[in-house]
Amino acid sequence: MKSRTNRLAIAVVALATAAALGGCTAGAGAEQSQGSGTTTLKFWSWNDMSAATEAWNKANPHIKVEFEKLASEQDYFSKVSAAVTSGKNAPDVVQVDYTNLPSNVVAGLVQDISKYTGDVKKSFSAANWNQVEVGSGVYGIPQDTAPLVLYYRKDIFEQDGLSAPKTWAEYEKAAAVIKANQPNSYISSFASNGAAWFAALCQQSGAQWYKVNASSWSVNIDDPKCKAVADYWQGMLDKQYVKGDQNWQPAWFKRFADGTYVSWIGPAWGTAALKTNAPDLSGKWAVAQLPSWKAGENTSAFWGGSALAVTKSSANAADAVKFITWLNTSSQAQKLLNNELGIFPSAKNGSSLRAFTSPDPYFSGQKLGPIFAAASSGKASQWTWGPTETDTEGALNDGFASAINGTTKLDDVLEKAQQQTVAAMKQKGLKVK
Amino acid sequence: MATSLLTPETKRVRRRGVAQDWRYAWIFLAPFLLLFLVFRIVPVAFAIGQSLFKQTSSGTGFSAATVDFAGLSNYARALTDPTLLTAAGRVLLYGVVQVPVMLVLALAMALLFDSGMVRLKRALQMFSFLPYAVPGVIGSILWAFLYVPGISPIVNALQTLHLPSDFLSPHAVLWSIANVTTWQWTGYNMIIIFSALQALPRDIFEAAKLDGAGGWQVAMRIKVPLVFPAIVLTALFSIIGTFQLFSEPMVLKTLTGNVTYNYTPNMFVYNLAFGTNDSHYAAAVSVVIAVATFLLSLGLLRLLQRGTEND
Amino acid sequence: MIEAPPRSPIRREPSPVPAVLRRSRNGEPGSRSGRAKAGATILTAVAIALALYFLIPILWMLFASTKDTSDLNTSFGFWFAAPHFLQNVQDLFAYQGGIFFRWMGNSLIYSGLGSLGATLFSAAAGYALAKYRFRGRDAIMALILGGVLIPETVLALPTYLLLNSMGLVNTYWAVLLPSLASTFGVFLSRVYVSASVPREILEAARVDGAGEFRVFGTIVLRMIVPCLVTIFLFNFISIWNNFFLPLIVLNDQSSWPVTLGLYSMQQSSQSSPDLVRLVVMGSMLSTIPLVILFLGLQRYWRSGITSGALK
Repeated sequence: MKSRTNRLAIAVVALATAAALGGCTAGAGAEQSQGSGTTTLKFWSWNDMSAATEAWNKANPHIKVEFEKLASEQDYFSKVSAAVTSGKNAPDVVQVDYTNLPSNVVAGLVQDISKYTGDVKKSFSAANWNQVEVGSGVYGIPQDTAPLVLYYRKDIFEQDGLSAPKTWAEYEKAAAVIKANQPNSYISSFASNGAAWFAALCQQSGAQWYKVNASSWSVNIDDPKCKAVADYWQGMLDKQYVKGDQNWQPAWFKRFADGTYVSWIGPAWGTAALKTNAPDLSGKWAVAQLPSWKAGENTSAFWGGSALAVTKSSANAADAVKFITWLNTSSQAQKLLNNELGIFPSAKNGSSLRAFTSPDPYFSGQKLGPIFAAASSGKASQWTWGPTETDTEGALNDGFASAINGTTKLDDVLEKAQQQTVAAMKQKGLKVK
Repeated sequence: MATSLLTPETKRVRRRGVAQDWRYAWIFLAPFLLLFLVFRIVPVAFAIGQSLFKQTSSGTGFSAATVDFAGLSNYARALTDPTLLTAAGRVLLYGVVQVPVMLVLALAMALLFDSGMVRLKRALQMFSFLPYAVPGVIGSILWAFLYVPGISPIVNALQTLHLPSDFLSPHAVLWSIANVTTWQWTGYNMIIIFSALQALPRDIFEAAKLDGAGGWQVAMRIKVPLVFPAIVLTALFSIIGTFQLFSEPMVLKTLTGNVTYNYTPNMFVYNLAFGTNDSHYAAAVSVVIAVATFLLSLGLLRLLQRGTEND
Repeated sequence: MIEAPPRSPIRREPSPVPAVLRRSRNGEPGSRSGRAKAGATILTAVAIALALYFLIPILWMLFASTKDTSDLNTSFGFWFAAPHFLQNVQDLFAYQGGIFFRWMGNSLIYSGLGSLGATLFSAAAGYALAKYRFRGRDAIMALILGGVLIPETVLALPTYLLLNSMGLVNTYWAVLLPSLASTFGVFLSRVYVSASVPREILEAARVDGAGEFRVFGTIVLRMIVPCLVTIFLFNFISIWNNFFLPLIVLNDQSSWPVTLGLYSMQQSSQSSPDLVRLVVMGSMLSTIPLVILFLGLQRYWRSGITSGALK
């Protein structure tokens, strides 16, 4: 019995070892084209892109795209990882959040497509194209982008004698006035789950959390410019101009509807959230550019968005890039995607979609296209996300919750996140300066 | 007992039966065991194997990473990891309270229904079972409407009465999670114990009642010991569920930042596997959780068995 | 069919009525019945309080399914707002070309077939573990228990790799096969079989010439019907509500069960907030088959079924 157990144990370990090692030979021998000039591409996304894919397939019989919608983003990474590293049933084209792109590159899941994307670059603004550059390579084509804008209750602002704040200083002054006149209202919430939003604001201030050097990373989450942003919002919290709140949950939505929040520093795709959850306030909201630090400056901040990338195991990179380019830059595709998903395309021509050029009754008849376009073409630091981003965001969010409870300050939250991130990266074996 | 049945012929038959016994046992076991081995044990073995390795990148990490044998270093890391230790302490505290409360409630309800003293038994059983039938996906929305100020009529009522009403504060949120779990699983455990009670022969209870035993005593001295194995089973699986606590805190995490990123050990594993993509360390942590669960269950079983022996 | 041995009464573990329960018959009849009545009223009141506790979130869900998204957040939770029920139903059925029906159908297949198989296999395995003595029995028990100790979160990737290598990813088998192995079912049936199926009956049947399969199929299964019903019901619900396994092994949404579909809609609701009311409606509709199933099976939890099998 004892020897049998030992043999079994050895067999199990051997099996597991083989599986572990076998799974790590970077995907060789992946999908081959079907011959006779027709390529088949597999396309995975958590968003529903079937309408757009069908349109492509009708017009391009020689490059057939099979679309599969995954249930959520969470499982996406491990499935792609499993498929690409084993080479079996792997997709060619995958959707990737900008925040996760560097992690994907480090994990060896996506390939450098810079040799196919020479011209495509011109269709995007520098800030947008920067989102898909990691190190010295290009690892995707931007699909949608989320510049931050200022949504605000025009009626309440006018009632209080305020106009749309153009600088953060003005924003704070407006907050004071609003608090004085409407004691139960706040100018906005401060999110306990707002790590990505906060990162966008740091980007606007010119901070750079991560930088890729020749053979190492630099990490500066506690960059002084970022600390200045933290101090600003700490002040807003202390003076109760903003309410600490978990965003994207029912009570938060309600607080827009009942006037507790009179403005929102939100993403371009956030219009649906307001329209669906506060329909009775149609015509009372307006959109303005994000307040900047210096008067007259045009700066941008980007909250999320995603690109389409080509997997490392794909043997059809050239065709894949053709498809992705069409999907992300052609007006036909953009219209379909915007209809289905409400996204704001990154490409320069995105803002000329009908959805964005007709006056929006909810927002007092404003045309959102030019506003969003201006919001995404301002100055922003060259922003790279880190290779352990979900961990960093987890740490930041935990910290924000503590700050809202008053047990810590946002400054310290940044420092703690910095330490944790550096430790996590070193744990992975990365070199951090 | 049945000595009159042991004629020589019977003895021969029985001996044959005993010899063939074990082969039939394996046949009956086979379908389950085969599926279990393939779909449970193989992934478990794979995960255990994974836990003995470590993936290391270098420099910027853009070149291929290497996977090296790491021995037990992942385990050493896990056992000294403050994140894991905090989370483990938390679920331990949670389990010590929530599991007994839930099982006592389930047992009490099962006994109540079995005693026939409660009217509308069918309806009440149905209501207690409904929470289990509700898909977890809707959990966050449901409980937001009961826990979140401004939306919950209950919270609003408590606030007007100046009673404590912050279900999502850093100290209260663990117990709010416990409430969700209890709400969801009491009916389930109740039904298991109830159907065990229903399978007992009624004549013992009749005999006891004739001898003057009251309902409470019949329940405590006869029924409970007889369905003890079913109770132990529910206790065991409740403990396992406690240590693998995942969905309920994830659901409440969407409502408040006071449920932190690695609130429970299983959330920690999930973040390692799906967030940081450190599947090797994730595997090691989950083995540590498994072993801790096993030791605790063993301890509990010993305790319970000693408790009944003393009766 | 098979006759029970003429003499031996049915006994479980030898537990005669404890002497302490034998009281003198000289109680006080008047106050006894008065006390009993007061007790029954209190118990019923407690039962109603419990029923409310279980029902409150469900009630919320019922009211919520009649509202549109903005009313969900702003109106009083336990009453109606502007009626939107039909609109919600219509929009849910129209979502993505009626895929909700497909999802419900998938759930019926996964849960129906899966739990039928799981029940049968668990009963067989539990019977083997309870009534046969064979070498390795304790090791098997430990193995089965060990298999559920490791959290599913870390088994997700190995399971996916396994199914991928078998070419089963994205097929119905990917969800069905793992669902057929119900650890909980095995433990439950083992408990029941030990407690409710006396050795004498099995021996008698064997003496009468019944083969092992006949003994299992015609005697054992009939004696543990409440247990089988419980296992079937719980497996049905757990497969129905399990979305983690389908999340891992299924890609395309045409093979999703309804809870995975609802989960995916919930995930998309951040950019399409109007989906929330459809998620609420879908969750409510998804609970209905489970309720119907429960009501249908409730009558099998009736005491006295075991004694019937002996006639």
